[in-house]
Amino acid sequence: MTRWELKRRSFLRALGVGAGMLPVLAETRHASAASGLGRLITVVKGNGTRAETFWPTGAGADGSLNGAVFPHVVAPLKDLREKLLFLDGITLRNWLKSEGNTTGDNGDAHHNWGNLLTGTLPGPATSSDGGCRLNAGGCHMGAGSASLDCFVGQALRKKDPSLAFDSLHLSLNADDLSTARRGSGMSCPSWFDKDVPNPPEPDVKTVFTKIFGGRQLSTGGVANEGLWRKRVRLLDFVGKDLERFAKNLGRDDRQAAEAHLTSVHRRQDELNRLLSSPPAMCKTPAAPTLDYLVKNEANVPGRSKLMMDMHR
Amino acid sequence: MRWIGLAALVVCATALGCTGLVRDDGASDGGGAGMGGSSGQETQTGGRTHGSQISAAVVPLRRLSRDEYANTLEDLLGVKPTVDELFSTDTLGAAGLAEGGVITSDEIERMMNAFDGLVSRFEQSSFVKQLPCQPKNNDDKACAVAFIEAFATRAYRHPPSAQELAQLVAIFDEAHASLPLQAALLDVVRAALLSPRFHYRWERSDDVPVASNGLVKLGPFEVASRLSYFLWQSMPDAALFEAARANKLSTPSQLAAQVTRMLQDPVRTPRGLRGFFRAWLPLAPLETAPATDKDYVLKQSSLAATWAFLEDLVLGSSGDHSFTSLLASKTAFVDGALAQTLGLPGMKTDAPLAKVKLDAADRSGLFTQPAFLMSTTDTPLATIIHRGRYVYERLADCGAVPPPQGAVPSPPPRRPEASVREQLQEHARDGVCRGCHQFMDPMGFAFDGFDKLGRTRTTDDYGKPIDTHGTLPLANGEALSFSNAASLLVVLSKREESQRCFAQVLSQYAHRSGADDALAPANKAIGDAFVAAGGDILQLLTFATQQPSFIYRKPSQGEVLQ
Repeated sequence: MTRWELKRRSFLRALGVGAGMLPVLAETRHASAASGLGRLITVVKGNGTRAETFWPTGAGADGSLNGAVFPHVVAPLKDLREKLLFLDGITLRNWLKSEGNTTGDNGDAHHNWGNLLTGTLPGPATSSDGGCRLNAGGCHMGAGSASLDCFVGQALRKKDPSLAFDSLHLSLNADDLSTARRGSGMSCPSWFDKDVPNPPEPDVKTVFTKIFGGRQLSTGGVANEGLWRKRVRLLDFVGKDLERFAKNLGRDDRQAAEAHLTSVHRRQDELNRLLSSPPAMCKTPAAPTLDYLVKNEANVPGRSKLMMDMHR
Repeated sequence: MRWIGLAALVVCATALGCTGLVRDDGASDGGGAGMGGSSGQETQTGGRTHGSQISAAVVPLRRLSRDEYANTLEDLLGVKPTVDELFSTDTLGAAGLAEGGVITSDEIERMMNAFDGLVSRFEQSSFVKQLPCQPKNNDDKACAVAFIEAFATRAYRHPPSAQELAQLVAIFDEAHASLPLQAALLDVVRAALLSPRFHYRWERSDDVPVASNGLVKLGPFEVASRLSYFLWQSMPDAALFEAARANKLSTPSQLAAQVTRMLQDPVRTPRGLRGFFRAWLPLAPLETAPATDKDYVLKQSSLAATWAFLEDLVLGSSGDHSFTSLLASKTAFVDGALAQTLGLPGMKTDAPLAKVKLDAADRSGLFTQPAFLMSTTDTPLATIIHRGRYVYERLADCGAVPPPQGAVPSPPPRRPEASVREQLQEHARDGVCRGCHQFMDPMGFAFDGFDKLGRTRTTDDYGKPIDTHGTLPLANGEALSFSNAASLLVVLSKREESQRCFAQVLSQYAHRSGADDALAPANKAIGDAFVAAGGDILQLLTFATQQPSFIYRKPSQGEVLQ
């Protein structure tokens, strides 16, 4: 099959135009740019995949997958073959020791996982754990810059400022926050910026609340502007309190407090956007029940569907 | 030395002349010259100033851990958070201790939702009890301010400064313009819970700390929280706040008296004890096992049995709180499910947890209990490495260095014709691997007599006969010989170096400062005291508070100081 060479900038531009998924990228390749808002979904398989179960065989010289055979890992996608592009031959050079990666040549690959979507070297070590940052919002790995999904989110926001969120960063991680003592999602491939993690959100209730703007789940009533306004006021207090709190702290401690402050401002901005243009374009689905919050792998399909329903 | 007034400590007091314990008059007792790297320090404890050498560690700003949130919210509001009201996820902080990570915007949303629920239940249950006065009417501002000040003192774990109080009163005023007094006060409660002063272990206002000779002495409210989070994983109680207000938390005897009092708390102390042992033991795989795990019930039973064992050993009335028994006790707790799995006769399958005497020659203390054995189970080869590494680093050589960068942390591929032990021995002959595995693996072999559920066995996962004998060369030239895990643990339990390793971890936990060289004098003194006291773990909890390092800290880089 043809190996498409795609520059990072072209990739980002294609995504930023309004299409995020690889299938849509294929449409971009065929000069049929999609209109409207798209979505970027990244799926990371931590321990890799056996090559022969993943790569389609028998692709045409132009990359066409019409006659290709889809091995079992990608077989469910075969009906979308017209819209798919398999990018092969990509080297993550930031995983190489020769490029300055302190954790070595891919040898301990999960230490580099956090950089998968950033394409940059890990952030500086803050512990003895060989270049990993261990204290970053439930994320285990370091990042050297904002990640691809956040660039896309920012581009989408520029295109449509009325968008409430840069990214919903939904996660279907089976590790529920309720019991994940070791940290839900030990790695964090998504980063808002250098050292600012964007950890997966596995709590469907939080996703629901975020999308529907803090509506009272117990009542399921109309958008509660009063609640949003109160929260904006409380966050204003917290922001000022944090500024005073951080003032005299040492360098590293101040950075932690400033990251907290950034999160406060981010949430305030989100609430203010909701207040200025309340979401009214979709019907609120039923609020998730407690069943979905319990750590139970049997709930994963239900949680997945619920998250996708909310994302529509 | 008035601190000897504690009867339990008399025995070891005479042996501590050179351990560097702080005397009630504030001078460092004997450890001064030995405190390498410390600076000359004019210390003021007990109201007097003396010259001495004090060494203290940097204490990084630390967010409450998940357990600390749960306990603190319960103690503050009188309302127990539900599982989905615990918004935080732990990350690893100093010395591998759990703490909350960076607060993200999503987490802010989660915590605001959680606080709405908690404050609502607080209103229905204990709000009225926490009012320091009965409001005369809906506009009783004086009573409202009294509540705000009292609540903020507890939520922030220090009395609010005038500015902090003014900010909260402003929240009240704004809310009270449209809400009744009680509802407006509950908005203040929400604000206080969102404040960084609730979330971070930094119990001081915005005043600039005073440094003298490179150290900052903790204020009384900071010491109160250091004690309470060390022993309870929670906020101070009323007595600790009172002691802080009266500035009675600065001498060794005052601290020891508080420790003695706090250890009597039947709810907070067992809860707090788990905090340390969670840091010391690798039990996370059991604690996070999903309900769908086929061994879930057994894992839960194993955990409950180990917690019961530890609570009984450290806090029980037997009088034996020794490190020796921790590693070599023939007493254990089992319920019906565990008894059946372990092949213990005489218990029904649904029998509740009970204390039993074990006759088996292959069981000895904590590390032959199913909880440790199950939590360290992996693939056949990796299981031996995990168990061996853990015991080696925690009990044999606490100064062990981590694997070199670039080392591939994976065992060799399986060779069916060889036993697990033979394969690992071959692997350890490799030049790079040998450096660590020559120490770790022999200890792991000792535990090969236990399968993934903690049952005893005589053949390994490949069906080959098991050999649990070994000799372990230690870095200090010692060699430990053993026939199985039980005999290894008996040897380790009597070894001073192993006791010092244990004391060092507890010292780091008490100081929450990680592996800071500046803590070395305190670690040594605490280790000396622990050994002199015959390895009494209950006394160790007091020893950890008796060093000057417990009430001092080294400023962090860039910190603004007077």
